[in-house]
Amino acid sequence: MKCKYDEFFIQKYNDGDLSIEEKSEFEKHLSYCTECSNGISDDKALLSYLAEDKVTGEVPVTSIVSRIDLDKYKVNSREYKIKHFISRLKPSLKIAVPVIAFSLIFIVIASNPLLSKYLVDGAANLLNKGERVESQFVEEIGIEEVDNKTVELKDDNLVQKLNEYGMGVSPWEVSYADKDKVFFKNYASLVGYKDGHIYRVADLKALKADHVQGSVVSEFKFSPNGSHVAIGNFNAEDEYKSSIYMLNTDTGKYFIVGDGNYANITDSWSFDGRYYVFADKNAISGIRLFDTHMDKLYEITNPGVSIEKIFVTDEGGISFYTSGDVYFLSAKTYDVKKKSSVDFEPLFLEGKSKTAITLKDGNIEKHYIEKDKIEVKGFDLHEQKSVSTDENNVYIDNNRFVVFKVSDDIGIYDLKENSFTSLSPSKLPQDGFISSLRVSPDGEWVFFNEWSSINYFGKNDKGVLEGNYVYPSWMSDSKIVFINLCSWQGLETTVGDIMAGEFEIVTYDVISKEKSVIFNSVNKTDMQKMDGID
Amino acid sequence: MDTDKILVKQILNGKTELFTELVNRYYSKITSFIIKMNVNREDAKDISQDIFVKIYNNLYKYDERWQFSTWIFKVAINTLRDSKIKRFIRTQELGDYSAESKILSPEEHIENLYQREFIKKMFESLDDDLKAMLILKYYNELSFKEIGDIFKKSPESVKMKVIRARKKLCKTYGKKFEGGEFYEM
Repeated sequence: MKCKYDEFFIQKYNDGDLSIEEKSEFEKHLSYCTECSNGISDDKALLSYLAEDKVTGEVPVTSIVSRIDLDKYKVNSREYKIKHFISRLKPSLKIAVPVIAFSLIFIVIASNPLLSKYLVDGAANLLNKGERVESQFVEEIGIEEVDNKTVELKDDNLVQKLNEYGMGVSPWEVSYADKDKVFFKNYASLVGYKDGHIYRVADLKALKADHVQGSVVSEFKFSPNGSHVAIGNFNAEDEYKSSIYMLNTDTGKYFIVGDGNYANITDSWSFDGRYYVFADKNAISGIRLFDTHMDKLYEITNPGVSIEKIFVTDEGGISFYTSGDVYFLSAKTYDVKKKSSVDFEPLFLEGKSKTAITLKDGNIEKHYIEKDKIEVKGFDLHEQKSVSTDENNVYIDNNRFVVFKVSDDIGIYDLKENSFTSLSPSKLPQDGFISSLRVSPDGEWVFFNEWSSINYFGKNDKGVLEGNYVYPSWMSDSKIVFINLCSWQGLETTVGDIMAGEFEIVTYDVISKEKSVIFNSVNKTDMQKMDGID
Repeated sequence: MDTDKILVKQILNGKTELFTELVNRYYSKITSFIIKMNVNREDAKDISQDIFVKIYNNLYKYDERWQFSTWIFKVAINTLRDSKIKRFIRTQELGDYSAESKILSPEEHIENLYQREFIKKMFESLDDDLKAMLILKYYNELSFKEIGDIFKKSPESVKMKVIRARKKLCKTYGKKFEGGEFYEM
């Protein structure tokens, strides 16, 4: 349309929506504008078509009434009034139901700390993806996942392969166990047991982590939840270096996260098993942090010191000790947030509360670095001056328990729960060192293992499990798990006679004193069938 | 309260014979609406009866916050959709119209018939929702808000759709008949 009036204006004219002035002016325009006149006719033709009646004549009331039940609202009037009322509530319910449901979900989450933490972590993962690289002190390092498809070797096929490899110089060692899974290794294989099946988590020969004894020993650092394991080699010679692997125990896939000699490396896992941090003690090299949730590796700037002990919080905050000083780095930017000189060597540093746990003058002390306050826990030996605590006879078990011996007591300090347990042992390892004590997950029991027996004791009970049970582990608060080789007859057995693939996974409950075979690689036991494991 | 709502209340209170009053008020509007949606006259009457039976059986679900006319057309549109899915519906035949009031010469009658058929064809080419919006606005005289309630759209959005459709139809019609093409056909 070339004139100033368009189709919309014409519609307004036909609908009677123009003001008197507009209408008068437009009608003057119509006297000479054919296009607008035609437009008006066209629009009117359309409106006329739309408006015309299509139905005239009688309304078929009788026919319709014959199809309905006229008593419906008479007889059941009350019932339909209620239904009518409910149907009117529907729009409100559409709003109210989600609100109530959301409130209930919120209450459930809020009342369950584990669940809320899981969700908060999940949300943080989504929101903070890559956030750690936003600082000059941290850099993400590109790493590639390797899949050797080791987990495809399982059950009977794995048994056959294990027999082919042989047992090597040392029997199966349980490296990690919880109520759902067990991981155990010999020189050649790391094997997983889960849901009634066994599978090969890693071919240790392929990873060159097959050193059991000698100048090089392979070390396995399992995360507290067993989802990952860091594997490296330890050698007394400083120059030695080998790859450090981070392996997913479910899939067998791994990353190479660095290289070094575990003899010179300090490392630790966060309590929840999300972060693994490690640093070379000797070299002034970067600190490496692996995030198992995101499969990302970060290198964090070392402020120029030789790190002796390093720790990481569930939030990824890093703290470390270097001769006479403790450092706390910010969780996201990794700049030095706090540095303090201390007159002790900490056993453990907790980055969130900025505290240090140490054994000093026979006491377990908790130092609040920021507040300059000391909270004393544990055994006070001031009245037993004749007995001194051997500072070399203190160690951290399972990344969590400070275990130490004072007089006739074993002290266990739970770093995660900040709780303290004291056990009076009737018998300690023959070598006198307590570093072979293994603490149960609840910190209430310990055992130590000798070639022919497992000795366990708690606050009120003790016992010995006789037999050739080597390298056991705690599976739950009261269950010990170990691998029983079917062809193993004790130390006199010739290595070549041992069938590495023929074994039982056995549990022993220190409270009920029950022994159970939960898995047999050769013949499935009745126990398994009863438990529905297989 | 408008008289439709009073009637509904009385029916729900047991005076079911008053439903015939609702049928009388809406039968032509509903049936014409269906015919205009390009449904054969006989099928339209059947569908229309189905709609009234449905309206009666579900009357207790009627929400008084809505205009009754809005609700009945919403039911009509849904029933029409269901009918189109469930059974074969015959479309209108050529020349199926009844509105002629003035006496025309045979030539005028032919021309008029041809123009109407062209508008009908143009109109049929629109999608069903747009067709329904135009009919509800210009035949059933519902407001843009009422139409918006039926289609769960804002009144502004309905208005825009209707005005644009009307403009497009006019343009096509204008081209055909003022561009001289009509006489060439």
